[in-house]
Amino acid sequence: MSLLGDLFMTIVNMSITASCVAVGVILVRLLLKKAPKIFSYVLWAPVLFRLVCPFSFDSAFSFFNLVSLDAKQGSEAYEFVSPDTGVIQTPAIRADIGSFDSAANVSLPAADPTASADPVQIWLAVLSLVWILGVITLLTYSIVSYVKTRGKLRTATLVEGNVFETDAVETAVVCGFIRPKIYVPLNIRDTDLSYILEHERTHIRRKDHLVKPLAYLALILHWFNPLMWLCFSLMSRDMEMSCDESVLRKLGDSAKNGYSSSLLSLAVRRKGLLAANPLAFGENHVKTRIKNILDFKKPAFWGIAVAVTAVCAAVIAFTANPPEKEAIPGSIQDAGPADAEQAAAPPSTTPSAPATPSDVTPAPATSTSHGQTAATSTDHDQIAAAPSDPAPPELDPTLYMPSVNEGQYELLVEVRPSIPMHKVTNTLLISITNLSEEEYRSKFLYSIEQFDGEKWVAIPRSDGMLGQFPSEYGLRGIRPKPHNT
Amino acid sequence: MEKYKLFDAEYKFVSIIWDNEPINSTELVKICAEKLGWKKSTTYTVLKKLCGRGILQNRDATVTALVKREDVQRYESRAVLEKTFDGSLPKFLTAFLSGRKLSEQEAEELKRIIEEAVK
Repeated sequence: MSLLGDLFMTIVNMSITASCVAVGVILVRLLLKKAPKIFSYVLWAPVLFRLVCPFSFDSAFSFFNLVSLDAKQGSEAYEFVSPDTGVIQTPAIRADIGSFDSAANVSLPAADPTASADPVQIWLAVLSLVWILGVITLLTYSIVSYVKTRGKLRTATLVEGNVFETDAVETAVVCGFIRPKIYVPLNIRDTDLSYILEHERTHIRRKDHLVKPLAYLALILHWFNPLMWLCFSLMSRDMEMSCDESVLRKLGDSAKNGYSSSLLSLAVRRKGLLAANPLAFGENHVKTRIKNILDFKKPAFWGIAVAVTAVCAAVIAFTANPPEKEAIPGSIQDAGPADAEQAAAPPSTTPSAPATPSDVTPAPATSTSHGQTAATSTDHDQIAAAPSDPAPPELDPTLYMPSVNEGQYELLVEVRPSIPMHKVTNTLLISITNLSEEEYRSKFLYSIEQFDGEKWVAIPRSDGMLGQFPSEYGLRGIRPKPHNT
Repeated sequence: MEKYKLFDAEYKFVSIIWDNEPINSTELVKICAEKLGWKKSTTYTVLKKLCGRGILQNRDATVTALVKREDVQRYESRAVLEKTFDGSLPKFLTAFLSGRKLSEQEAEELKRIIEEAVK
């Protein structure tokens, strides 16, 4: 699978997770209609988090305990669509020389989706291409329009402090990231100006001028998700409204009328010059905002307390993953369906396995007989129960590479109990740090091949295309791809 | 006439030059940084643009204005007259003076200006 395809899959999975959270947020937002808008605003944080971060922490309070999602889930990303969907088999070179094979095989691409006959994979490749083109287009457009705006604002003239005035804007705008400046149109009435400045200064104080571009970047990554466009719009509105409320809290109720008429007068001037540029601060949603301002009351203490509790709980619930319920990974007893599949696998392995790496622990004495019987379905239960079975192997610390980000790696798979080692090629994209064996199996294993004495035979997955590999195949470790010489 | 059309920032910039000309360009950068909050590069960009339009002149790092303040003001006031009052001076005066009392001195001055214009 290509790097791009993997990236796209990660994004799609995050998008689906974020969509579930977004629906939850929109529902909770309805309940908080009467509460100060700062609460609705804060609620968007988990959505943003889910959009940009594939990892999260586990908690029993997770929102995902409520919705039963049909997804494979590790301690980091929810996975709704497996990256190996429809990949048939990894190409492999078989020269019956173990060490050569492994070196040669890792140099091969891992099941190129475009070469695969499977339409799913081809679609995937096309879609990821469309996705990345969309991202590039939107990104270029935003950067160009940001640079253009900057250019226009360059000649704005100083009023005081960080406030500049210019005839290039029709409404007040905050621009800049590190040292944000406020730009106001010319000839604003003094009363309007004081309200506008208070509003924009509040934005800057609350770092909204950083939050909005960040949210917009996330939106660009997830541009194919219409729900996220809705979220962005709702989030912007909540941001503006809670900013309005914060200004009113400071200025007092008497400012209500003046403040909303200032809003209106700037809305009238607006010509849409910056409307398309989400990086600048436009005044939008004026009607709803004025309504909100006129309705604004300082909330009662208990109301605040309830809202704070509810929002904290919601944020945690939306951000956390549910704790893993799966059994110990790799345990033979778990492998019910896997065994059946294993039975379908070609007649099995012989002790004359290919070149065994020197660091492998010698197979137990019983290994030969187990290896031979493993292929026959009748003996499964005995195998599973056999006391002589070795415990699931620990990840070999000398092979394990922590904090590797991408590249091609060789996965060493130990086959229990008969064949000590197998080699699997793999392309990894996501960080493989601290993954459990189960996660390696479900996410990163494309194919395992077994040497049956004469030829290499692909071992089928336990549950069709999306399933895992039978858990008799213990995972031993992972190391960087050797240079093929 | 379009030559005299100045944006707000340009007008403020040229005003500084009218007040100080002839002025050394380094000195100009200093004043612009202080009064307009401009960076050196912004000052030079605008200077170059206005020189290109024949409004300013920068010779041996000395900046002078090629147009008079009165010319620009005349252009601006006519533009307002055309745009907002259909080019009618009485309409403009009516709107300008509505709800506002002239002082004796202002009235005398206006009368004098009108008489001079009629001659």
